[in-house]
Amino acid sequence: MKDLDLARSAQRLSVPIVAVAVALIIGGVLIAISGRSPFDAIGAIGQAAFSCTPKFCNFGTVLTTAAPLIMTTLGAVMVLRAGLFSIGQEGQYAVGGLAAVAIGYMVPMPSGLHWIVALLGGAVAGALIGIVPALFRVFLGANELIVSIIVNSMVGLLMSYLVNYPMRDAGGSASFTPQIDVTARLPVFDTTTKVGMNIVLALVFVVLTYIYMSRSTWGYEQRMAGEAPVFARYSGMRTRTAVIRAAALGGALAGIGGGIQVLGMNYRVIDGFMDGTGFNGLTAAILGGTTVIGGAIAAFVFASISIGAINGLQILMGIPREIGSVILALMIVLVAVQTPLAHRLELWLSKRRGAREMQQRLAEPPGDVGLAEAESPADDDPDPTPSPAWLGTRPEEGER
Amino acid sequence: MDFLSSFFTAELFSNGIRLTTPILFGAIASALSSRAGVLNLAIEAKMLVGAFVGLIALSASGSPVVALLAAAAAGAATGGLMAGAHRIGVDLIIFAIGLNMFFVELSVYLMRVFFGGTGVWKPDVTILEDIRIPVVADIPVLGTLLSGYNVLVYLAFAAAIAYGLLFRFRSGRHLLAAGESPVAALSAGLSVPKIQTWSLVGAGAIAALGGAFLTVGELGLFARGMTDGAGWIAITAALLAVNRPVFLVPSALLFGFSDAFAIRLQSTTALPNSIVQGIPMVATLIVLGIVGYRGLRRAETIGMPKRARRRLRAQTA
Repeated sequence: MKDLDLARSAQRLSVPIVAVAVALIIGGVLIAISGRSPFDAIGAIGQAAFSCTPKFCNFGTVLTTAAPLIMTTLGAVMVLRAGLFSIGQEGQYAVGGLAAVAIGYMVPMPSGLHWIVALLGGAVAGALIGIVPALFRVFLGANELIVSIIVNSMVGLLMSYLVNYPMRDAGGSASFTPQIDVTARLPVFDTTTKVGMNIVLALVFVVLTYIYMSRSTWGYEQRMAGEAPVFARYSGMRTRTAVIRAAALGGALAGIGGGIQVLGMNYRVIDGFMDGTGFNGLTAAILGGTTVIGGAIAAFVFASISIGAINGLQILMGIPREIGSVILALMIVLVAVQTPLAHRLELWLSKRRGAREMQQRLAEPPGDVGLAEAESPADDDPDPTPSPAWLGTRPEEGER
Repeated sequence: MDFLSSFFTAELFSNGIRLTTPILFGAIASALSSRAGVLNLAIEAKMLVGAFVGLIALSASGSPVVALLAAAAAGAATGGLMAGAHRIGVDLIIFAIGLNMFFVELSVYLMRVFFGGTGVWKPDVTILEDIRIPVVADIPVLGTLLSGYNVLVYLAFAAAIAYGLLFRFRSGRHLLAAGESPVAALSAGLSVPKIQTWSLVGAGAIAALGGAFLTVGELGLFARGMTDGAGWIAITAALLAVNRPVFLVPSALLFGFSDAFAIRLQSTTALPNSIVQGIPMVATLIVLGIVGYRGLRRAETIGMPKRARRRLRAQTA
């Protein structure tokens, strides 16, 4: 069985890798039509994302960008694995930022404590928004995806109202809140790129979420509520509670993401704060196979490509920075397309393997073939319908 | 009264109709796909495609008819792409999220590469003319309300009526059957994939016209993210209408007019305008809750005697 597992994990890994490769090729073609060499461009992305001079460290910017994105990715992984397809990370991220800013400039507190309280405020706000789709789904049977879309729009309106009226900076010319107190700022290692506590916190939460999801009873309940709801109900788990808890925790994580962004980078909320970090977190979670570690890596790749596209392509080569997001979007589309194709390939391969085994058996003299051995490889697959593996319908290798 | 009469002007009304138009196009597209059993979240992408391709075609050919046809064709092609993905079993939700992001960014990228400029592309074009309906335009109040829009506005309302009439025909019935119960439709000899493909292609073309309204019909320019969430609003409007043809126009009007009110409020008073825009969304949430709750209860208690039904409710509550 060992080699079979190995083959399967190779196949699963090949989905994102092929997607990335094809997306890069199409991106290269798109760069070529702008009249510049795609090979130079890839080099420029890499150089811009990871270069570091004493004056300015681009890699630091990547980390600063990645920190909130990792948090929204974790929030997305949390809800997706509980079988809750909520795309409300964008709204949770925004309210998280708003709450953190409100605490950051309204409530004076000693430094060291202030940013912790502000982040907690962001977490609570995110959780409150996050459970709305789950409540609709669990108690009213409404589609959580659709509810989360509407909640996102409503949060957008709420934010535009808050930054224009009650929380507007009195002296400011545009629609934004006042700056947070210095005590509420996250500690930084490097003042130019503002990298510091933000990435540390994000990594800490990656570890905590991983432990929670794969090692704790609550996390197990959540995963079972998503992967095998019938089994979970029969074995006495409270699936409703588990789903709502997942939504609350996912919302809290995305809310902390918003908090990290404002406390570590912007120091205020502007109209237009909802810039897609939540959506990108969702897509990073999907690219990462809805696993904690994979999602975090995907979020990091996301941040590198975005920063590389801005600093490397736009500033150095004059290629519009949108190409970075185009390539990322292509990756999502390709992963979505490839998953059923890979599944079909897998089925076809196992069918062939089964046929070969049958022929071997027929060649041998008829005896009592052990039942355990006669197990057909096709039955190994717990879910023969072509449902995407990264939606959490199948247990992942790493977190089993 | 003085305030009211100065607030509710004919201009407010005609702005409301104009703001309703793209939402109505998108809502028809969304409802059509849902009715065929596909959750189509790529309305935003299709609108952007329509807006972008429409403006390119307009600036290249100078003919609004060609522009609209090109926009519709591009939207239909995007719909066809989704249909193809649906056939091989792709998760359309992820696919649609990817498509939305792809077209938002790709349109800006291509705009910057080919037409220069950083945020806005404003070619030298003449947009669609407003139509003056001969007799109606002369009626004092009604004239300003009903006449003087471009052809897409009338087309949107005509499309809504056509959408309602579709279900009176054989093909519309087949579409409903494919959406309500694919297995039953299949065993009755209908080709569900074919029906869904055509619905998605049609929805793509309709949504793209909604996008083309913004560029070819109203503004004559293309800007980054110019649909500004109109696709999502359209999906919400279709949900508020529960995909029913009768409710589709009123719900699109509700969204369009709340936008018009909000803009008007902002220019005349200091009252916060976001609250007005939130009203239809709250209404949609309530409708979703009610519809979902009724479906849940029906599914749980189907074919049960009354007492068992009550016991089950007590247990699950």
